[in-house]
Amino acid sequence: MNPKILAIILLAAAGVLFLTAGMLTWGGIDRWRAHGALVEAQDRALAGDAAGARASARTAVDILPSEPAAVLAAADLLTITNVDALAAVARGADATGKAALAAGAGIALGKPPEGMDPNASDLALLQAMAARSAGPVKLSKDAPPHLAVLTSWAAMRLSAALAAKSPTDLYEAASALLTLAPRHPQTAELRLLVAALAPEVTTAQLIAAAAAISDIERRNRLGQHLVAMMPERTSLRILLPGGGDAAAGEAEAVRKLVTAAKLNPASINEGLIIRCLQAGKADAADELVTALPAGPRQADMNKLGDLLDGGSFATSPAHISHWSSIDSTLTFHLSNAAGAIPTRKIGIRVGTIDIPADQIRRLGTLVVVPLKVSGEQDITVTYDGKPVFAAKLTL
Amino acid sequence: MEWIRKSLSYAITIGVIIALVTIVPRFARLRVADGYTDIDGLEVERSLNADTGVAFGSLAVGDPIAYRLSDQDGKNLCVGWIAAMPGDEVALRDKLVMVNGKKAVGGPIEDAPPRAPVMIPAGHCYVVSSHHQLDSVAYGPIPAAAIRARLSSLP
Repeated sequence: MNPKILAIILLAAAGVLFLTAGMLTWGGIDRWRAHGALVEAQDRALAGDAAGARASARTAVDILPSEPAAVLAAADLLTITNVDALAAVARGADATGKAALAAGAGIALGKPPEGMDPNASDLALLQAMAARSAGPVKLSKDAPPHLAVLTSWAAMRLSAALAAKSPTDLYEAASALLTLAPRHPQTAELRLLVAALAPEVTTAQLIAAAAAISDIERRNRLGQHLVAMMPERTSLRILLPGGGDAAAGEAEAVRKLVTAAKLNPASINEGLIIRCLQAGKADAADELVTALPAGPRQADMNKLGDLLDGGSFATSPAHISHWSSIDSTLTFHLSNAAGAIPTRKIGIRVGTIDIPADQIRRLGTLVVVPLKVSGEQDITVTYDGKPVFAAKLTL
Repeated sequence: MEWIRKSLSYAITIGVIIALVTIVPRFARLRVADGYTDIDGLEVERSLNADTGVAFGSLAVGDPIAYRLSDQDGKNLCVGWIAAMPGDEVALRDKLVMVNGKKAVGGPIEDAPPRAPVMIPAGHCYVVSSHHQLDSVAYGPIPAAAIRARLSSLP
């Protein structure tokens, strides 16, 4: 083939590919913007601002007019006009989108979407959704509902129960969503709802559930909802900044959380450490880390603190890693929270024997000690004359 | 013009190599050592006496099953016991999965506040395992289409 012709063909192909790549990139940016608008819509819906949620969703519709998720969120399903609008959008949607829109239309009308095998339970749930009823629905054991309908109803019921400030309905709806969709994007919020509304829950479970929500604004908003809903349940006030006392502020709330968490070190997690650091309470975060037993989890939390706090987190004198006793030697790592190598004197006592300083080998943070005893022994470690570890270990 | 011809020829050669390297492996079939086979064939369950032709309707609460989770990479197969079938009500109480008010098989769930009962939807079952890492506690009700076999027992 003539090279000129070949060159023109290849240049044309490259141009087409370039244009395609550009369109795909632009489409990706659009989806990203629409996703942001939908997240905002969810936040507003959680805050009880239904009109604001629909306005945010409409922004997403402006960007992606054929995206069923955006159209459904923007539509007021209680008006027949919008059901017609859904049908118009359905013409440009793919099979999944059409199914979602058909379900939306079905929900609005309180009847099963076309193509769905109707049964008594589905019908009852769709009618409850159409009426936006927060109450329970009697389902038939012999004709269980379809997963999509049941999950949609639970989501609607959650929203309706939040608006109606009905703790029982909210608890049942959140329980249903957690059981049916445990990988829901807002699982952390659902867990907090269930923990706060359950008939029996420990303070540790409540703290752990709250701490799992790292977005402090979302957590506070949910806490305010719950306290407003059940003011008589004083244990929930721990979810509020200042423990319910506006004057006390976040620092006091953190203090209360830390005090409660230290009583149950198993409840200490990343969210709680982050909350302490967000409140400017590095000392409280350090207290939590120190309350954890020495080991990988303590080291991880320290690392997190260092990352978030620019390395100024280390206030504890020393941190000790897992112990290992093999071949008549005892080894462990000793460092400060930032992982720095200790430079001052380390003292080790095994049982009643003080290990001579010249027998303690130090390789960076690694400390190697010869063992002349075995079995269960009291181990004491001091750093710069201050005790940093004391426990009974089996060697 | 010579340099254009040479450049194009290099570009075409590099393009063909890239295409071969990226596309061909997609069509290559996994070669499995003698005595074993791809998990798709469920050969690995032979030791567990897998019944791969089982119908969803013939499964019952307590049956050990093998199933696949859609978002699991590779060919990992999960195993667990059926705790509840469509129409049963699943709840969480005292850190245990409760089905229709009675304790289900499987181990406890740590740090789990009690949950209100919810009905298992049509075409799904609630599967539990010892540690709840890849079962319905973590992924929700398992659809009938995800069930690959009924096992005679679980190790």
